[in-house]
Amino acid sequence: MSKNDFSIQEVFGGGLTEVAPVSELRVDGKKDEKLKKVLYPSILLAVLIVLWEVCVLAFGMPQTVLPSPFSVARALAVNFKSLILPELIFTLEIIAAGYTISVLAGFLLAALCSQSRLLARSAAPLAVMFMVTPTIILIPIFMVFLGFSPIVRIIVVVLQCVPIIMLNTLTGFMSIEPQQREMLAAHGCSRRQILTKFTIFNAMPQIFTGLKIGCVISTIAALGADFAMGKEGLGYRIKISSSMVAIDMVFATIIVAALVGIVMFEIVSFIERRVIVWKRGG
Amino acid sequence: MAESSRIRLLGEGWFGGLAVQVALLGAVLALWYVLVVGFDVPEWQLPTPARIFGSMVNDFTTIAPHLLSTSRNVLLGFFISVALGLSLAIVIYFNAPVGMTITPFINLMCIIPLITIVPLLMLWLGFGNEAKLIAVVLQSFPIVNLNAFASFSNVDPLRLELMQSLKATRYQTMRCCVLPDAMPGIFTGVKLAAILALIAEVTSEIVGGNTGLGAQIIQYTQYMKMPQAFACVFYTALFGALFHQSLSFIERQLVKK
Amino acid sequence: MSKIEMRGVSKKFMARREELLALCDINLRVEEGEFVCIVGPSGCGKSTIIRIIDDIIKPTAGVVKVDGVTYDNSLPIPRELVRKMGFVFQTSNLYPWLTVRENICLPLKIFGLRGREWAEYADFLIDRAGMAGSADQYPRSLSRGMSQRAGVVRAMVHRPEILLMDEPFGSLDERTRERMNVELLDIWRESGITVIFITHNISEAVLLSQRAYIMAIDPGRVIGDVEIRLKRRDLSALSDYHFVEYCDYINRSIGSIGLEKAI
Repeated sequence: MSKNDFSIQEVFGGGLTEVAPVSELRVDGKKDEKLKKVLYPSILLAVLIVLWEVCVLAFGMPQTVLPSPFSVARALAVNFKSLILPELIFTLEIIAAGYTISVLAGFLLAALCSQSRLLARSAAPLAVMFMVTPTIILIPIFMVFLGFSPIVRIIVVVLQCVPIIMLNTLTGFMSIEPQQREMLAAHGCSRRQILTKFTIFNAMPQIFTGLKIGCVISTIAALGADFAMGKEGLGYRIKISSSMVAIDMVFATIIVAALVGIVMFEIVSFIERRVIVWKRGG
Repeated sequence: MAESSRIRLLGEGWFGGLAVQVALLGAVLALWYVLVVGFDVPEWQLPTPARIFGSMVNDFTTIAPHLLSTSRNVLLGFFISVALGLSLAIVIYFNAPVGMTITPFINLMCIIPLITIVPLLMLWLGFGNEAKLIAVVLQSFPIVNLNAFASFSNVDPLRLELMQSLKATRYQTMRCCVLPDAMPGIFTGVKLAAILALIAEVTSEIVGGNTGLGAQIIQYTQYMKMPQAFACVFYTALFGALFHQSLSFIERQLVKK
Repeated sequence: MSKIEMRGVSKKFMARREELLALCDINLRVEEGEFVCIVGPSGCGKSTIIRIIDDIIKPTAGVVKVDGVTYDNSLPIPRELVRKMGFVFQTSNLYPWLTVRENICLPLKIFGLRGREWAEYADFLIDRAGMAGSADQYPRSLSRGMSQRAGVVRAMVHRPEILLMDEPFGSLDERTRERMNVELLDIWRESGITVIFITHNISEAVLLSQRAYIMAIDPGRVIGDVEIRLKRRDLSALSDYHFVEYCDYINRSIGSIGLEKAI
């Protein structure tokens, strides 16, 4: 049973797991299950979209309160190139820069801290402090010094994201069981060999957990920064569309932002599947 | 995966962890003070920690209602999220078709940045607490649910067999076996939800409305009242830290392994 | 009428789209008060058999009859019948979040057996097992032998008539195991309980049981049963000539399977 602080069980991103508690129910009728797992949610999704359309038509909702699915799709298609795409690229750049820096810094810090218990004990609470504080509140203050520079946004993303990646990676690094360490020592491995190969391998699941949460957090931080700073970014587009009460645009941009989150997460999950080939059985 | 090493990591026990944090904090603040005085930074740019603490005390009556508003929304939203996330996880655990239907949506809600909905919510519901509360709940409950369900599914099958050999009811199995076994995993989700809840609340305040620490920080920086702005930042950080420590404390009580 | 009967029981498992025949046409019977062992190599399905008896696993075919009540693939076991059975696991399977005493009294809680007589009986068993000192501690402070003892006490706390034991002493060292074997025999003689004991250790089977079912692997099936008559059932019996003969016979039965033609 894993006890991971600030991390999610590896099932996050692994999709559905068996529900029935009795172990043997797991083994019957696998093919049927797979079909149902795709079919049921698809049915629900279709029902929800139809319901949405029906509500709009039946209650005569003004387009300013709840647009129909069609008008959202139309707004998306029409305005994508002109209004959404530039903001999308901008926000993507922020997220990419922030996330990359966070990952590198997180790994580095974790590697440093894993060398010394004392360092880990000192650094971890500091990391926790940053993690539990919503760094978006620092934006107005940073803006006093740096104005509207995109650096402010990147700093905010990094500050929010690094602790999580660092703590998860550190947990992963420190998670060699004493018996495993003994076994390796008995086989005559030098300390460096132990550290590099085995530690990293052993830490992989936990590292990826941190990377996945980091994805989500950096997306949230970047969009929050858009809200706070305005002028550019998907969050800005959402805010300004809603102040103009162009709700179909709001919906459209929200969908684009959601897709950003999803795609980013799936990329990390894909890499994870390639790297961690020894997935535990359910 | 990591067991005991994880707990030691963040300071032995409650007191140890707190002591290290306080010491570190002291060091950082001392450094800050030295830098500000050394480089003669004007107060409207970066006030000294002393000045900020002074503001925290002197301006407390002005800041207090906002602190209250933020805390209230976060805590209320958080508790609703935990209750909702847990109960839904229990329902999904015992009801496979329901699980198959809604789990993809909950997975999705964990991944997508739901704070993008905040401007929309404020358009529909105004700048009041309702919109902020909904944003907090939407952002927090999926992660509680996901972690809880994953933990339920990872219960040691042998422990479940004991329940089966006694022909325990679903309620008994959940109460005596599944929930206690899943507690560590549940708390992981709960702590993450706490962080997301605060982020969602502060973001909502920044998007719109006049109440809450986030809104106040924007106000204060607009009027260049930097000590007060920093005071709000510190209060937010303090709230986040206290919230987190309380959850860790509760976790230590409930997870007896 | 036998206390426990299994007729034509088979069990198929699905493993990666392949069907695995774990048990093939098992026929067993155990009389009231008997101590019966099921002995066989690892993987022959012995654990599956007692799980089918306790209705933790459902058979693919065949029926189980306990005290005249039948249950099978479609019929669930009635609750009163479950109360008559106690199950001992291979690893003590104590819940780490409960104290030893709470673990032991767990069946009372699940079965709704309140009242002082039950609590007193639990205390009596705890004393008898020499666990009075550690009853209020958590399982992680127990040694393996004590853990297993706690597991056995837990299985008996609700006064079952049948004890199902899945290789309970397999993970213990020789000395502790022998001691536990002797204690188990004492408990059995005193209480008149019916015991089905699973093991892959042939000398343990011969020492403990009055009758042993011998199983083979691939598919899991019963290839015979042997009545074991020994004058003494304590550690001195281990060097008895007849004891060695029985062990040898069982050993040969299991070992010669490769030479027999499959039925």
